[in-house]
Amino acid sequence: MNRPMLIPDGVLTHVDYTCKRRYTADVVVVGTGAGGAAAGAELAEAGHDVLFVEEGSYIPQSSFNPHLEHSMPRLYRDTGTTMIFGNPTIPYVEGRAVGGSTTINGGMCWRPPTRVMDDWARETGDTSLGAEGMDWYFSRVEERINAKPQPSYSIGPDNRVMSRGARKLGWEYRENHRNQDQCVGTNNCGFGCPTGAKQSTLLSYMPRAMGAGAQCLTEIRVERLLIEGGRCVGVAGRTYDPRTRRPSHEVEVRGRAVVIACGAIQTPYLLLRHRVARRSRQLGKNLLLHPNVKITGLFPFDIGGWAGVSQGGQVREFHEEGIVLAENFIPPGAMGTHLPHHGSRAWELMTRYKQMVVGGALVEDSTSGRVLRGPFGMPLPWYQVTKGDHARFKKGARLLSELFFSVGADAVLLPFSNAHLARSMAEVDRILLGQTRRKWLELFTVHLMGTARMGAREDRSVIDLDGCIWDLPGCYVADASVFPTAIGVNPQVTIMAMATRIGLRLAETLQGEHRAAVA
Amino acid sequence: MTTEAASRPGTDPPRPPRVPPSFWGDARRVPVDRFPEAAPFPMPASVHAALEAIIRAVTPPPPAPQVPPDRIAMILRRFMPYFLRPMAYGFCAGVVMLDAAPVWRTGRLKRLQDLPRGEASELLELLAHSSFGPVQQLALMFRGAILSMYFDQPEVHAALEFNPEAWMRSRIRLRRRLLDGGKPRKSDHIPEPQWPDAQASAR
Repeated sequence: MNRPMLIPDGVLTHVDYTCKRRYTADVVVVGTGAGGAAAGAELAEAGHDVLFVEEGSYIPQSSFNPHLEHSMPRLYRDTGTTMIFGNPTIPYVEGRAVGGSTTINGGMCWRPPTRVMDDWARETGDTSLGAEGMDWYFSRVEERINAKPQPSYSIGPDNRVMSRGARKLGWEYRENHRNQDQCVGTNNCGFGCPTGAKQSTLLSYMPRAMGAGAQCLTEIRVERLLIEGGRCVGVAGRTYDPRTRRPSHEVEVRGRAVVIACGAIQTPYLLLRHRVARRSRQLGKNLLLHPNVKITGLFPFDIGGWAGVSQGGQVREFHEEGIVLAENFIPPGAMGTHLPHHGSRAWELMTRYKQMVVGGALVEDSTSGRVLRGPFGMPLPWYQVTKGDHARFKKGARLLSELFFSVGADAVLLPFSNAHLARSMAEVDRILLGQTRRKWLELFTVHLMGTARMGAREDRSVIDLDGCIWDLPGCYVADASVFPTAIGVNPQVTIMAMATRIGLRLAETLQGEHRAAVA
Repeated sequence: MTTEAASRPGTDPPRPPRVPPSFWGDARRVPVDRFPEAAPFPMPASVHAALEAIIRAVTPPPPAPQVPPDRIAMILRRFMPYFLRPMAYGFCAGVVMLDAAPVWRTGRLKRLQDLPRGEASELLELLAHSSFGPVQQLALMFRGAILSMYFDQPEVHAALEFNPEAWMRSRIRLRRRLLDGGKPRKSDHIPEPQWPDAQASAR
């Protein structure tokens, strides 16, 4: 079988596992996204032998393109068919490739509001989790991923629609800091940056870790933890046949410590198999989503949203109410999944594709869901939208409609399955009045958090303040699932900052153990 | 890292020479990376035919560009091995359910694939607005999957005047120039939209 091209040294693929394999290292890190790569790089740079285990493939920058057909199987978990059950059902997507979701995210770099971080400090009783205590970690992450304002030559027409609308309405608009180095605005963040400007972990933390000697086993799905004498000593998983996608050879990876960083759905799914964190019964609970609704503005002039950065800024006027507004370019293929009609009516709408701006109203959760372990390798996430949040989605849809109409839109597509098109604010208000049932909401999410929450008490949390599972020594969690509460902003840098903290503390612990053993 | 083969040691093939990972791409539709894409999910011919009928009913009729239903069906079938297994089998079952929709929705003894395109399309529109959640979800899921593939096709992009590859290639060249120490020029900035109020004031 041919080996994929452009794979750097230190990355192993399915062709390297021709029989049952066993590997050993100091630290095994499961996942190479925002959490895994950041924690692993810190550990590798502290001198530990780190071995990453990644379910997805190593997809080089040269493969990134704007088409769904070959991008979805390479980059997205289950080609983007993942969903959260409840009323309404909420589709979500996450990355499955080296770099995890940072390969396909928008690259927004927002620290959580001070009130959120201070809440974390209060709740855990650890002041180092507060805004001041975490400042050092955030600064370190921002420097490593080059979090900076966008250069002016990357700002595109849909970004200008948002900023112009916000200015007209007197709303606060803040330009995004993004993890980019000379971003030129190809607007392909969702399918991987073809210029290499976005400093996803594929291009930032992973090369750093591998430069320090780490290696990466790709295309292995971890199925269980190896537990001996009450301590986690590794993971076991299977590689799969790339043509049929059926599991094939077993692979075992052993280490002195295991860091799980598979995201807020897959991390609890893996851990639930072992019935850990039994005292608190919090594992899988506290699923936070930041769901959002999409509103499309139709303008009587050309926009051409594919030119320019994906999301140049955010409307922050309503942040205290838990609502953030932002534009988000969607290619025609992905737009097809959101259309209110099919056949000729879908075509009629899409002939105005060049004149569309897609915006999202992101709502900070006031409730939480949970992840259960389903049959046949299926995690079962469950989440019910509250009445309060339903009202905020309606408010978000109204605000974004108002913004689009203020800059000349002649119609908007609303996110309700029973009514879509509105040609004026009066019509928007009339439609909103009739939105009495949550099941009519069309929601979407990419910010999943909180299912293995960190805390200072074993009876209230899954992991301790060092990131270690309370009743499973040697097993750490370092991804978005450790968040105690929702953060209300894009979670990338917060995940990295928490993972950095967990990685550095683990590095110290391992060095201490090593010194003690030598003594 | 230490490696150990648990059985049959020494069976790994020799590794080919490495190519530098900083290779610049050109945003082409089919990447040249030797990534082994999955083979189409096995599906009986009758189910494949039913899937094609659903695709015909969902995709826009002329004057919209016509994409062969078989092409869209094969792309969907190539995606299916990446789904969770229950989801992939559920997809096949969904195709059969929708093909039988004229029977269970209107009581006619016909399959969806036997209906004229317009009639089949109307029936699916009806299901997409069903008040019974699972039926509505089923219709919307197929609509989303099919339209996403339809609107991803090159002839459809051409009709929509959406040409992202050319744009991306020009920006890839720009970034290379910037990394080589070049300065951004005025022409590198992306033009503003033609605001109607700006046009009015210009007049």
